[in-house]
Amino acid sequence: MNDSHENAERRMRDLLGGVTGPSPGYRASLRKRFLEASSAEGSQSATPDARDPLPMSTTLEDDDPIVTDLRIFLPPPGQPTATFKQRLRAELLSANPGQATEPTPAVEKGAPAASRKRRFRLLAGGGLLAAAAAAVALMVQPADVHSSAPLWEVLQADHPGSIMVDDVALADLDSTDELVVGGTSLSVPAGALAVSSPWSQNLAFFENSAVSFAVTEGLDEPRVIELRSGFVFSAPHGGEPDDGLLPLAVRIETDCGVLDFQGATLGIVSEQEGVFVAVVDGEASFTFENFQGDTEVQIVESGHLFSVLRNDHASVYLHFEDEMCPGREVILALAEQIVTFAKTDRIVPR
Amino acid sequence: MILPQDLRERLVVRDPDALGLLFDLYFERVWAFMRRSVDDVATAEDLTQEVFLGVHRSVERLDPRRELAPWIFSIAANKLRDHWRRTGRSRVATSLDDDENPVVAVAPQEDLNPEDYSGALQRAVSILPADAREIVELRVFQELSYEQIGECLDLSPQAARKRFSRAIQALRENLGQSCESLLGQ
Repeated sequence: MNDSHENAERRMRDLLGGVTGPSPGYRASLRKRFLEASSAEGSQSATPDARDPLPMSTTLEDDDPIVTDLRIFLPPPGQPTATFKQRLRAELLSANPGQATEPTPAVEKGAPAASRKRRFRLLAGGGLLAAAAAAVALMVQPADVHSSAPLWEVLQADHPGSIMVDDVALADLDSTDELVVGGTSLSVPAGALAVSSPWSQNLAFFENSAVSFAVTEGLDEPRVIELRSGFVFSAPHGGEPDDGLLPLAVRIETDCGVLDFQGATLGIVSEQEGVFVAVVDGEASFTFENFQGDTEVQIVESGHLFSVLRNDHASVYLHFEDEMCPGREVILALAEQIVTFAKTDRIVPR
Repeated sequence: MILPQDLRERLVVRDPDALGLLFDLYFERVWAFMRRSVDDVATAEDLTQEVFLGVHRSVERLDPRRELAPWIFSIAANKLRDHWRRTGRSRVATSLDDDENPVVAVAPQEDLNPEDYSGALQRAVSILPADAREIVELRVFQELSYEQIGECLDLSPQAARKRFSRAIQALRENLGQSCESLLGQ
């Protein structure tokens, strides 16, 4: 059998080994960007600690896949979801006159790279709104984003025992079953929601109860993460344990406190090792337990920036005064603070 | 491709020369991996870029004792899976375990002219389930060992070997009567 396979391997290599090259200049351009980005971070990495959470994109340049305007809408208490969805759609349309009513999804397949770099907006309502008590819709605009695919998949447990991905049933689940998502194993109780995006390999919002999440790929040792109700997390994924995450839920319970984005317009300025969120307009509140064990409420106003979660187990609160779009120096300073903060006893990886 | 450990240690601290060497060693391989896996050049370019972005993001966590190829191709395989998941499709079934996956002979039943071999084989590979194409790519074109493939795909070497064997079997079935002239016995 092995000899047969070796023959087949050799024949396939002979017949199919060659591929057409990329566009002219692509290789050189990518090499240049790769080395510049990596070297730039390396030059800032004087110590191992400082290397840890540095984002790739620290300035708002054209090519950066940065969301510049993330609005979060909440259904008023008691308002039926359907009514809220109608109102939400009306608001979105009024905010974007002339745009289509449906999410702007994939860019045409086969379109040249230049045309695929375009503005987009996203309305992720649908199943999410139907099941979540604190339903969330996102509208992202405008941003130059390299995207050739819809931005979101919604995994929804809209009734006990069923997990759906874009209307395609992945598996019938109960509280003991496992769903394999992107190389990770996820135990999903009825009523749970999970959302994945290209920015975060697996981003989940759990509504009803705690779940455990075992991550085995891409890590030296398997890690079990316990998620409580309301958690948003990004699951490490084989080979890339530190992909970013997006603050989807309006209420995020963390080890350090509760983050509430109600009414705020947020900008995501970095995605690595947690999310740095700038409050562009309005205010967000963050309730946390300080080092003395007292509860404090921090109102984060426009121009402040803070990190929501670091990795999948710890949370860090930061804010930065008087910077709407912080540059590299600011991010580096924040990263150092994160490292310092994460080393305290208060943040204990689960 | 196995780099000396000291070079991998230099990657971890983002030594520019080491990073440049890594790019030069792996760009063509990653590109070919993506180009053979997706239908159009633009998507392959996007995915190749994402792989090197992934390398950039996680190079500091590279274990210098590990070989580079399984690490890089695990990133590439994940990017490709993410792409399929986002687009809601791979070309056909996603798994060799999918009993619903139809086996379709793509080659004509009569003997092929030698110049037709490449196209017939390409079509036969293209309709393989995604995990079969993935392992064919890693084994045949990237020439990874079963141990390395296992590291890439979080499989034991034995499971990798078994999956590859099943992929070849599926390929032979896809080729129908032209199999012998294309792949040999």
